[in-house]
This record gives sequence, C-alpha cells and structure tokens, in this order.
Amino acid sequence: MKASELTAGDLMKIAARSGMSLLFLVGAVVFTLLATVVLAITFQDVLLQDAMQEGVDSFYRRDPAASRQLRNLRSEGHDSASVFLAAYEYENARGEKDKLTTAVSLFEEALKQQPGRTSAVVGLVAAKLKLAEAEGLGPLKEAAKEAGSLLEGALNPKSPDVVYLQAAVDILLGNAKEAVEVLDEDPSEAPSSEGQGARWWNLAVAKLLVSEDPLPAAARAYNLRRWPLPTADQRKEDSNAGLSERADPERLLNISYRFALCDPACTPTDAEELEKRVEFGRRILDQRFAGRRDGGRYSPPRTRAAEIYNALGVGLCRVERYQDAAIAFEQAVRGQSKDPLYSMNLGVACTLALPTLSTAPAQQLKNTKDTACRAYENVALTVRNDKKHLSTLKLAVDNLLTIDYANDPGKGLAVLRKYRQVYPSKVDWNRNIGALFDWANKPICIRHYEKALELGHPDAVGIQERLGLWNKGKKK
Amino acid sequence: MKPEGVVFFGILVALFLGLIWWWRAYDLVTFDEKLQFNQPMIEKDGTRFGRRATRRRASDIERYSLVRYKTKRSSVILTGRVMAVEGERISIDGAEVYVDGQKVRDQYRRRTNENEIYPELIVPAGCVFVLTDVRNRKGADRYDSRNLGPVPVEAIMNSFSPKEPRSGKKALR
Repeated sequence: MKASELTAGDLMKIAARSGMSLLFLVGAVVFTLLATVVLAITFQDVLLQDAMQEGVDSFYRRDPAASRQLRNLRSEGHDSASVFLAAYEYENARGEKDKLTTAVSLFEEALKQQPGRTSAVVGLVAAKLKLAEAEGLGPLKEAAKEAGSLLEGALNPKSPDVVYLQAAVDILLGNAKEAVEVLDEDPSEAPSSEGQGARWWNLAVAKLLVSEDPLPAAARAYNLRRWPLPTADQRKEDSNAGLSERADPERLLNISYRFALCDPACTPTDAEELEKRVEFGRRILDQRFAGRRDGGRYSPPRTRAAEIYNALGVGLCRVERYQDAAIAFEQAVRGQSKDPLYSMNLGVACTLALPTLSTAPAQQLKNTKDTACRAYENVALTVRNDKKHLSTLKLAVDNLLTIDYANDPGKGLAVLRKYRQVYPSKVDWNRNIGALFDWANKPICIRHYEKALELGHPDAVGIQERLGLWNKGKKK
Repeated sequence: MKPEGVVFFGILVALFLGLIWWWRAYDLVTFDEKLQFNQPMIEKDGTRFGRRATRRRASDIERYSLVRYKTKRSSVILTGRVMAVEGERISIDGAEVYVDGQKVRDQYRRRTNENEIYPELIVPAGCVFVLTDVRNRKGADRYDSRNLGPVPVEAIMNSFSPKEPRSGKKALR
C-alpha cells in the first residue's frame, strides 16, 4: 500500500504497531496544535486590526493624520471616534470659540451614543467651562453651576477625573477650602494624565486662594502641563503677550515661588514647615544640569528671575540661612531688573551672615564683607540722584558705615564725604562723621558732635558722653 | 506522501509561520536621534530589532525596557527607559530614583545629577514614566518624562526588553 493511500485509521494501526510511527503521529498532532496557536497569535493583529486603534495611536502620537483619521472613523460610525475627535479639537482650540464649540457638540454626540460615558462627560464639562471662560466671569459661574449636574450623570462618578473636575467647579463657586481637602487626598486609582495635571493645577490655585503653601502642587502641575517647554523666543513672546495660555503653568509656578517663600500670609508658618518649604524652593530653583546655560527645569524666565530669586533670599533669611540667602540675592542682582532693593537685600544678608562666619576662613569673611560693601555702594550710587529714595540712600550709607566702621574709619569717612550732598539727614551725617573721627582719634570729631547736638540728635546722652571724654583730655 | 515527508513539510510551514510572526511583531529600528542619551545601550545610527508595541497594554511594558515613543509634547521620535508603570509612585531625589517609596537599583543609568529633584507623581492610567540613561547631560531632561510628562502606552512604537543582551547588565561590562 502506498503512503498516499493510507487512511487515518491505517495510520492509527501502523502507529499502534511501530513506536517510531507513533512518535511521528504525536509530533504531527502537537505540531498542528502549535501551528494553530502560532497562527492565531500571528494573525491576531490582522483579525482584530481595526482602524480605530490606528486612529487612537495617531491621536496619542499627535501624528498630522490623526484628525483626518478620526474624522473618517466618525463618519464610519465608530463609537469612540467622537470622544477622541472632540478631545483633539479641545486640545487644539487654544481659546478659539469655534473649535471649542465643535468640541462641545462632539462630546454631546458621544454622550448620545453612549449616555453617561465618563470620559465624554468630563470632556464636555471641561469644554463648556473653557468656552464660558472665553465669554467672561458671569457665564463662567453659570457654566460652573450647570457642570455639577452634568458630572452627576457620569457612569463612574468616583473616577478621579470626575472628582478633580468637581473640585475645580467648587473653586469657581468659591469653595476653595473644600476643593483643597478633596484634591489633597490620594486617589484610590490612577487618574488619567490630564486628570492628574488638573488635580495639581487646581490644588495649587486653591491653596493660593486659602493662603496655604502652593509650591509642591504648582511644581507638579508644571511637570504635567499640556504644552511643551517654551523656547527662548516663545518665552519672549509670552512675556510680551502677557496672557498666552502656553505660559500659564510657568506663571502659576512663579506666583507660587513668591507666595510660598516670602509672603508672611502663607501657612503653615511654624519654623519646621517654613524650613522645609524654603529648602524645597531652593532645591527646585537651584536645579542645574551639566553644561546647561539656560538654567534648570524650574528656572523662572529671565524677566522674572530677579524677583523670584529675591523671594528665595527673603525666605532663606526668614529661616536664618543668611549665606544661602546672599547667594540667592546675588542671582537676583544679576537679573535684568536693576532694582536697588535686591542689592540692599544682598548687603543685609551678607551683614547678617558675618557673625555666623566667626569660625570661617579669613578669606571667606573678607569676601562676604566686600560683597556687602559693594552691594550697599551699588544701592547708594543707583539712588543718589533720586529724591524719592532718600531713605534708601541713608540706609545703604549707614549700613556701609556699620561694616567699615570697625575696620577702616578712613573708608567710612570717604563714604560720608562722597554722599555729603545727598545724605538726607544733616544731624545723622554730623553724628556719624563725628563718630568716625572719634574712632580715628581726631579732635575734629568734637565739632561734628557739637553740630549734631545743636541740630537735635536723639542720642544726645551718648554724644555728650563722648564729648565729655574729649573735654577731659582723656582722648587725644 | 510518506509520514517523514509530512513532518518535513510541517517544519517548513512552522518556519514560515514563525517568520511571519517575527516580521509582524518586530521592526528594524535605526536610532537616528541627534542627541544620544542612552549610551552605551544605543549608539548613534545603530540598528536593533524592537518589538512593535501597537495594541500592547500598559501592563505588558516591563520596567527597564527601552521604548521608542512620540508624544504630543515632542515633535520627534525619542527613546527612553521605562522606570515606572501605571499606578506606581515615582520621585527623583538627588541621584536616586524612588518607586513606591523604594530606591530603584537602576543599573542602566550613566551620569546622574546630585541636584536633581522631581516631586512624587502617580504614573497616570495607561502611561509609563521614562528616563534617559545619561541623565545629567545638557538637555537630557527635555527628552524624557521629566519634561515631556508620562508617556501614554499608545504613543510607544517599539519596545526593547531589558533581557536582550544589549539592554542587559552584560552589555554594561
């Protein structure tokens, strides 16, 4: 009998007689099974390949064809196409009413197809709020009131995305405290990327409203922002445009820096919390990468750098870290703004750091003193011709004297002579210069002391005491 | 047909099916990124076979896998290493990466930044958190989740298992 004439029954009989044939038969069965499995896996993609998945992938990758693909899918009647297309329109709207209106109608369409679909409900509420925001505060409040009932209709009302959106609505309705409680709680399940971004953004805003520390939330919101990092040119554009949406996360972060680090209203205010808060601010601001010139990830734009580093310096002074504060103020001074306030703060921080440097190397002490002197000089030179800032000039000159007085009266005298014409108080000027001559053991100090007394210096007793010493001839 | 012939034919068919499966599951990927942040695992203009990630769920992506992706925040295709998957809490403090509060033994990292700080984040649903291996190089953070945010699984095009020789520990020696 030829092999081709064998029937299955014959094969079984042969297999039963021969061990080798049995092996072949088992092999063939196993092979058939394996081949079926491999075929199923191999062609799973082909069998289940739906254009919908391709459209979704394009949406997430932001391929240029995404919009077209999703439109085609929608016209073919795919259930989810409307939601994705609506999300696409919403994300690309950038405040344009037409696109937002299209997004709203597409979300509504998705809800008609699948009533209560959570993603569609969340999208619809977000798009409606955005649309109302473009129209003004009145319509926004109305939309917020309507949003509550819309969110109740979601299939999964406990989804973190719904909860976070509800909290955002609460903020709009003036219930920031409740919103903070909701948003501060850890979610039971992982929210969507957009949901999580919304959580931190709204938490930062709510905390600002209730005067709590918004910085960690603002930093996270910044990490999860919708837009790519702006380039240097875009940053320039944004600072000129003032209110572009792309710069919003950065603006929130910058406000949070200033509020958390140097505003006394920011709670909690106990020393430990304050220290923690300031250290967090310092670390994220000081983040540097090898070779990078344009600053760290959380660095403020150049136009805002001075005020933010100044805020950091003030925060560090509040926790008595004067040396670190001086570094922060130095960065503020290097910024674009030439506000003498930053130089004054640098000088004060260095002056306050001096007592803490008693055990430091002499060079460090000298450098700190020099920095303080330079800072005060800078202030005095900047405001010397500005009559509105006479008190600032006086403060700078007086502080400069307190540093130089003990070391080198000659320098102090030079300073006082330099600013004689603009120094706002003749009484203090005479007293100060008298004290410097006194320290230098020059009898001319008597004349200045007497002049100060004549003009009515408040420390008359102290001046009299010094004059008494000179008159007794104890001091020559 | 002789029984031996059936087996031979079967092997041929199996090889053919295997080839089709491999062809459908893998892509030949050329790493043409201008900036290389995953050396020595990936060299400039180097080529490797990467598993096609279409239709794969978040749970299929292993930690330490290298992935090629393109998100809405990046205009180009990028490569990064998965450090945390959906639902895990990731934070970076100095040179260390923490996942769910535990320090990650990150054997692939090259250069790190002591000043680095990334506040704790729950990796969102359907996403993974990727980092480059050379993390302290200028601009490296602009090309991973630190700046681009968590990467949606749908945005991943190819993945390279950490068990593959050039992704594994052996390649580092």
